[in-house]
Amino acid sequence: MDISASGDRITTDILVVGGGIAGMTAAIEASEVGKSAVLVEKEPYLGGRVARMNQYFPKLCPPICGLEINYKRLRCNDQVKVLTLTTVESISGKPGNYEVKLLVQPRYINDNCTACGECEKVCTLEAPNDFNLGMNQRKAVYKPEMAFPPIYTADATHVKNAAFKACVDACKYDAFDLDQEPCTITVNARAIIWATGWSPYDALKLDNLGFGKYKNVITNVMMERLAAADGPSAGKILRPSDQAAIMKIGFVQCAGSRDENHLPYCSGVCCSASLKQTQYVREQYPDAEIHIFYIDIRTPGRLEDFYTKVDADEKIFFHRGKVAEIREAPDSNNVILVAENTLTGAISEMEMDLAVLATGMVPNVSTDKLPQDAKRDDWGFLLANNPSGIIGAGVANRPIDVANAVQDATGSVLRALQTLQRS
Amino acid sequence: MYLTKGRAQVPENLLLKPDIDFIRQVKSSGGETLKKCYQCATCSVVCNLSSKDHPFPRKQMMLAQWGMKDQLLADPSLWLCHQCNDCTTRCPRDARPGDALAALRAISFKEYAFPKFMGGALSNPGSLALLFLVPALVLLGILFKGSGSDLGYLFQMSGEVDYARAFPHGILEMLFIGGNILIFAFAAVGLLRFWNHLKSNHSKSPGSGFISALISTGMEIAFHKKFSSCEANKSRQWGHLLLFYGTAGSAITAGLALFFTIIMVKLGSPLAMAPPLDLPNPIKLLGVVSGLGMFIGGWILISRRRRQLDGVGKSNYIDWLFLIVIFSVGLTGMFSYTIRAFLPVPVIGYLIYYVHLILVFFLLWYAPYSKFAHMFYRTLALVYAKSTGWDKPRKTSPN
Repeated sequence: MDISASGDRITTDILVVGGGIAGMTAAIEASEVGKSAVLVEKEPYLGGRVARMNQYFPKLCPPICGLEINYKRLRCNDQVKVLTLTTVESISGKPGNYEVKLLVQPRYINDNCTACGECEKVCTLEAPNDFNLGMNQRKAVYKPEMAFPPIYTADATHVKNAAFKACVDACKYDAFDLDQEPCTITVNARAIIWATGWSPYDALKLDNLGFGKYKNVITNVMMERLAAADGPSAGKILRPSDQAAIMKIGFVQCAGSRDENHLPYCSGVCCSASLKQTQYVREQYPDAEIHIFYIDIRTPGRLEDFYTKVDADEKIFFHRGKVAEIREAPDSNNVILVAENTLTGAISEMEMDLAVLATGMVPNVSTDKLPQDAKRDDWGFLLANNPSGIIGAGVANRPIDVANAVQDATGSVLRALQTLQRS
Repeated sequence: MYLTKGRAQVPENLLLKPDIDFIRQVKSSGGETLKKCYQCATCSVVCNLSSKDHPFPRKQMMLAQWGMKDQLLADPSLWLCHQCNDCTTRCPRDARPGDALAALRAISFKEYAFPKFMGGALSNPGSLALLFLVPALVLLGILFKGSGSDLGYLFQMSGEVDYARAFPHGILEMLFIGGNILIFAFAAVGLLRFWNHLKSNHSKSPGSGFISALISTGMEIAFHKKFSSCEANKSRQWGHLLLFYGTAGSAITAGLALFFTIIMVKLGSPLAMAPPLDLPNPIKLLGVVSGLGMFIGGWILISRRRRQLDGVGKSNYIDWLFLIVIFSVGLTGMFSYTIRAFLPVPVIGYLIYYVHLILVFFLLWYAPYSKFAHMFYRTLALVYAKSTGWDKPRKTSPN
């Protein structure tokens, strides 16, 4: 079936919810076997969490190149309709015949935009940069790195501000449309793939680890942004408290993971992510001391080689024992990591310039608005073959890394094709 | 490295000999979650009482999982633990180290008991009736011996209530003193075993600072300093403090009563007092205040355990037995006095007093084997820990 739109209604084969790596893969691969797809993403950009990674493990290559290949596949494909700034309001119907209400937020900028950036230059209004997890500010009119379409977006909270007029005036292409309102679109789809990905576990809940209380305690996702060239410090890893260089850094594994009081499961990626991040530090600071506190290093399959390589670095130290207390040094913003080394039986208190909490993945599907019969497991992941017929992809199904999420997305397309075949 | 082709060659001193029965015993004594532990050591870090050089309870969890009985029963850390349960509330696996250590202490009472069968009797609900029967019969014997067949006064609905007529103070005090001597002798055997076990299992032996360790342990107990380091189970501190001083006060009251109403009377001293003592006699006052302390303190602890608050930990048979008995001693003591002094209904008064005496002797005679014994073992372990520097704290103050 070809995609067709009339008024506020779109008819398609497959609706893919979530424009991260899994959702993009699913929509593209479905279209490449001749099915039409609508890809819905709540942010103004595609790529989701992957767009915010600095490098992949274990190859340490930047995710942007992979995303760009997907962008190219999307652009030369007329059977995928991409709706960014869009969320799902409600779902009714059953496999073969779903009706889904979507809510599209205004971008306040139309297709005339050439992304020249003149509006951003003159803009005086700022907002916390969510892309960088709030670690810096961005302008009220902005273009995320992986914006889709590749044009600017303006903040709803700022467009009515008198100071915003300067931005509008700076535009030579008449691309501002401040009268845009949120609008509803109805999609009739025969299958739904749910790929809403994950959020990092809220480190503020780890009250013994000092996140939010001490500036030099950050999370692993923040570390990705600190190391990224388009991050808040232009790729230079610096201590948040004083922007100083890092000589001693501690990675706190299982921060809130495998923990009945927090996330009961192992996300399966944080060990490799921390090993990867040691390499960011190593590259920028050849003399820095790096300490990893762990319960078990979980690097299955070929990732074991990566672990062996990192372990061979004589300035990277592994301590078996979970950090259960972080406090600030009395006379500096250094942080003291407290753990019992279970191999020696001694309590160690080590002072670090920076502590990185390896927090796990919370599936967004656990809190997404889904029909009653979209059953989830105890941890909130979508159950395979759940009665709603909604098909999970990526971290909606289970905690996995990028490569597995891509493979899982391909698998989800086969399930969708089966649904189409049956209906 | 110890493996050769086809056959394992393990040096004798590396061979672990797990005591499977011991593992079962720990699990059945309240530590059933023991095996969930995956040795992350969160517990040793969050514990405010954990020592610098000998952190616990992570290591103890491992030793218990492996059935290393000898090592555990000689471990002073079991007694440095005051069951704050900060470990339990923070444990990522819900392995409840606080409960496991409580189970290990319960096993210690049993293992060090002399005579040994008494340890088993106090931890076995099946023996409960028999344990109560002993003081009940002894007291009945006293009653019949003193009153002969003239028991009618016991069953009156009104009239004077004279407990000393039914249970003469002289005999009771003899039982009290004789019992105490015997009990302390039996307890001493167990404690000596414990002490030797502590010494033989560790290279450090207590230095010359024994007396100063004893004094500082005494001070610590007097102010319940360790309890105030707790976080999860902090409000228990007040219940325990009241019960502790209530019980101590009651014991002192009994001693003073013996001294002034019996010994001084025998000696014809002018300081002698004629029983029964009534307010505002200071000895009676001490007795009433102490009884109230036992009652209120006991009630706080019981209700905290009943509500199964997270920080309280699991309650087992020996916890309930000890707590209910000691609380009931205070309760029946208060009632006995109230009825004698203010609401004289002899039949009720004598009955309650009889129950009170059974409970008192139950508490006293079985002290080395019930949870009451924690006062002996814990004190000794703390003294050992202090005199060897074992308990050097990691934290100067809880944060």
